[in-house]
Amino acid sequence: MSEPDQDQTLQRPPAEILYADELAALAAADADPRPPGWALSLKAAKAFVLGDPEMGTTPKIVAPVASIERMLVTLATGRGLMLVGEPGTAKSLLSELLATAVSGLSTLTIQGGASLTEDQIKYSWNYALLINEGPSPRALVPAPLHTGMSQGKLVRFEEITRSPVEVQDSLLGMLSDRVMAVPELSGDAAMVYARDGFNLIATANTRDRGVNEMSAALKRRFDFETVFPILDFAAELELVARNSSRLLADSGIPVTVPEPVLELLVSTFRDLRHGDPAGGSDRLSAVMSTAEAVNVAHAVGVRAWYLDQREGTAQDLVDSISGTVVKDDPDDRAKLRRYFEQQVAKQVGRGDHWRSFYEARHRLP
Amino acid sequence: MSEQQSVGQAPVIIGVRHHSPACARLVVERIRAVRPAHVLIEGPADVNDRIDELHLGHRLPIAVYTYLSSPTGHHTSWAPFAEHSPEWQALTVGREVGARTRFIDLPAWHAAFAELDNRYADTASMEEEQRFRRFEAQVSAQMGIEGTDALWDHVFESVTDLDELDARLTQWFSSLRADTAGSIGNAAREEMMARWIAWAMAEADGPVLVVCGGYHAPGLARRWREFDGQLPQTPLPPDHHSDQVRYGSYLVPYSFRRLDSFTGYASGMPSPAYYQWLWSLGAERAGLRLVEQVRQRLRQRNLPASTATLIAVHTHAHGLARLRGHDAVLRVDWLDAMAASWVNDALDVPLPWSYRGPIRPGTDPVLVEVMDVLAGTAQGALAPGTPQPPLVAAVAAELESHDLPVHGTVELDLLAGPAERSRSQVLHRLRLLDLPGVKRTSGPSFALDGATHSESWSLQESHARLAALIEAGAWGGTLTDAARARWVDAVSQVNGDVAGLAAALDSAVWAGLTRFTDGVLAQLADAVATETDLGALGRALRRLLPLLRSPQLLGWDSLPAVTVTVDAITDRALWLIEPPATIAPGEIDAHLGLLIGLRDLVRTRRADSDVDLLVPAERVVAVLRRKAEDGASDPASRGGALGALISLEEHLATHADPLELLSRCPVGRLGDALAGLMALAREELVTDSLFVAGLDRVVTELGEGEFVGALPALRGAFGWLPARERGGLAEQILSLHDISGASTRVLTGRLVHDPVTVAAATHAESEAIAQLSQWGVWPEVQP
Repeated sequence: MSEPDQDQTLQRPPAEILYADELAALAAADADPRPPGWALSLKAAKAFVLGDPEMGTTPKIVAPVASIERMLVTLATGRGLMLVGEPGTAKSLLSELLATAVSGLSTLTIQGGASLTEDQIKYSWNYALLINEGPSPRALVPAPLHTGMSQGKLVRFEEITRSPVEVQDSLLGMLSDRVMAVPELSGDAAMVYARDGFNLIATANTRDRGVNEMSAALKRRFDFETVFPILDFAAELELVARNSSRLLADSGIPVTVPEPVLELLVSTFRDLRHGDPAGGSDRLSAVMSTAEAVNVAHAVGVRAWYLDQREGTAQDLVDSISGTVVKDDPDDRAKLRRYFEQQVAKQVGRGDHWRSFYEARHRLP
Repeated sequence: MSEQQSVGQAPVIIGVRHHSPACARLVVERIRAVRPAHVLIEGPADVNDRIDELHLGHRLPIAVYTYLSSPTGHHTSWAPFAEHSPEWQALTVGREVGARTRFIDLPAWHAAFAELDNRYADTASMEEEQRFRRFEAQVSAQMGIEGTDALWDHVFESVTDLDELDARLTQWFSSLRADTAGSIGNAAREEMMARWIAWAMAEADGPVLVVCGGYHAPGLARRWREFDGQLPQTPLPPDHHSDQVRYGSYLVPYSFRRLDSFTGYASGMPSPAYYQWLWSLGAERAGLRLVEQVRQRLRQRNLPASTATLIAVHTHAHGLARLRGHDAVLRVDWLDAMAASWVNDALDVPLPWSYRGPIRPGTDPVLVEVMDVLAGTAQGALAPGTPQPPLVAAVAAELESHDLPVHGTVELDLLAGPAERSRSQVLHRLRLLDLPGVKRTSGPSFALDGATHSESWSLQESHARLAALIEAGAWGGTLTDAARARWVDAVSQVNGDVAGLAAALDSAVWAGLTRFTDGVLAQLADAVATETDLGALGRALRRLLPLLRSPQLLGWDSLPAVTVTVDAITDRALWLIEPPATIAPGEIDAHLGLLIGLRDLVRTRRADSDVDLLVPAERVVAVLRRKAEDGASDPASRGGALGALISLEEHLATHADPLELLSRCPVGRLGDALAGLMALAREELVTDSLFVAGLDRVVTELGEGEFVGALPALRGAFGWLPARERGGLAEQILSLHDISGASTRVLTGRLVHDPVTVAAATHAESEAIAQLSQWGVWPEVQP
């Protein structure tokens, strides 16, 4: 692990550096059996992700305990783990934390995308060496999957459904037979057998459903775990308040967004996120995640302070929601207007902040 | 409780969670060890004289059903027993060791039970519920386990050492209860129970063992010494001497499905079938049975259940159990393992066992089946010779007092006065109970249908009817109670089907069932909240409006269930119609039907300010206004909304104008826009000569081809006018074109040929002529 003074130059240190002390303390105190190839036992891994005051770890994510337990057991039983959910539900953070807890390393990451090719996930060649020496282990440049298998580490595959189907399907053999062939080489190097500890955490966005639909064969090799937006209102409000005040402080703004305005923000996001109780057709196409709520809260604070040197108000919130969330989708605009006219209208009895929120509806685009 | 306590000085009090197999095991073991002279059980004390009836050899689950029916109100309550209930084990094992078994709680007609329809719920009052939630949140945070049932299973159901279990129960409930006195209802119940304990201790003929809800245990241990040891009197209902007050308790068959369906703070342990297996087979075999049954069920339903998945479930469940520190694999481990291995797609709603209450719509079908398997299908049956439920006698008495035959036909005139109306209600209640041989052969199709006011019924007596009546006794002791309970149950199955809901409300009105609990009313509103069919909402709204407007015609001041439903329908409809959407030609009438319903609703509210609806009329008008002004909306919908505004005299407040709407809308949709206007404001528009002249101009200015395209819909639009108004319009058109002397029949008479065909032919002909003239082969007619 790196020295602290080096860390300060990192914009965003990975979890294994950020929480190096916690990991070391957990590993030292960990008396429970560890699955083969794991850096921690399941109990210690759970304590790392969810936080446990007795073990001196801090909570790092808001998620149901049972779901973290299911994820860890899935990884321990050797099945792939597929995290699915709406954008902004902290799937990637979760996969980073799990990889750190299990392997002590979160950087074996494949970023899925339309341009992803097989050699970016398996291996490629150092062409100078390849031309000079011919195919040799020295000339081989391992990609995350190769490294993960040969060292027994967790590999993360972000946004798997954005990758071409043929790349997805090239995972099949490696997930079931746990071996990767390198036909260019001979001898021991021609077959990479996965060491204990190798496994795959993939994430997929439900908004991408149907972009590159996963084959049934691949689905079968994963246990699916749906990551929901934070279910508890108070927990979400607290998270938005905490993160937005940190962002505001970073932007050099001495005030935070008042609690009633945050309450309006979080309620609005939760309502619009769930859309119509009868089905998804009514949801906004914009992403109404907690992360986006934090951005809006930040925008409210920035707006109010730099334009007027005051705290954010319900009016600022209406402006920020229409600017940052709805963007230019006319359908979303209509839905947002309807939400104000019909749902916010019902809430005016709940307090002055709701009333001024409703009365600011003319500021919608 | 240690055994020394039981000798002489103190009773053994076992605080349990109702329907918990772990508690049942503890109760059995303690009774066998202590061999008490008295086993006192939380249960309705009014049943004590007939407690032997419980031992006739019934097939469980059964329940003690208690009812009170008086002019001031009805109350019903159930005390259900399954084999794994601690109370049931106390009854049977207590009897086995020769103890005197007694129920020691207040009868369910006591005010303490006013809001509680399940005696063996986890919590008995709002106050207790809140206390419980706080306590649970605290323990949850400490132990890192979320969810009432997961927590309970972890702390109690997994424990095999009974002394350890006893210690944990005592600690759990004393921390939950702390030193609070509890609600007024709970205090009254505990006083009664404490008096019984004091009495049994005073008898001094052997050890006393008490089985009661864990929340009460600390209170009872504190309070029993306050009382003198007199045999407590079971209170009777207020005015019990009156002829109009009927009350009692009796045994009824029960089912696991009903046991699982209590919600809110009436709920208790879920998944009765699973806990039954846990009781009779132990954790390991219960788990295997569960997986086996789920596998069978999924294969029956053609859902995937491969052997590989079963292996994965098995491994996963054992892994979870080890991680969570369970000695055996528990319910929540199995469920979580199934969710992880069996579901391979994103979920839309959270896992059903992560929250309390009914399963949410959108739950993965595999999980719905799993929860159903866990609830089980077991149906109880009473042993032959069990005293008949009073419903049989009550129905006979109702028939006699209303002068209705047991066998034969009945003709009723519904307008002949209240007596006839109440005879009809009795028959409709019988019909709600679904009794064979009770048939309505003719009558109005809905409650305020003006078409006819006579009803005929045919009644046939049969063994099947008697059997069905005995079974229906589980729903209530009087005809009204039973019909109401049955209706509430049926309505709770209606989900998102607003037509079914309107029909159900109508049948309730027929049967004279007008008072329902807030819970039922909330359920009605929820059922509407998932409807997406505008036509169905409109039909339901128009069907219910007469009931909202004039319940007096049927003899009531108001019908709260109708009010709540109309409110929910309005809210839902306004939400759904607001966004602009294209309406398919086949759905235009349904859409306009809904707008008519909304317009009539506003009219009703203006006419009668007593109508107690939550959605303000202004909101309806505001939505109509936005709809009328929104250029992106479908022309039919805009026309309809504008028509509604005109008809409500709100059109001055909008800048939308009917003629402008017609002239701006695409020619192909002209007829649809006009249909909207005509459907909602025909009277106002047809008598407005400016509008008629403008409409005439719009139509006249159409090209021939455009006219052919617009004609079918235009004709449809005039179909909204009754014959008389159509005649009036025809007169205006004739005078506009200065055709005097011609009869309006020229325009309104039935045509021999389809006018659309005629217009198409005319159009084709003129095009042919134009072509021919262009080539100079059409003889120019000299003027």
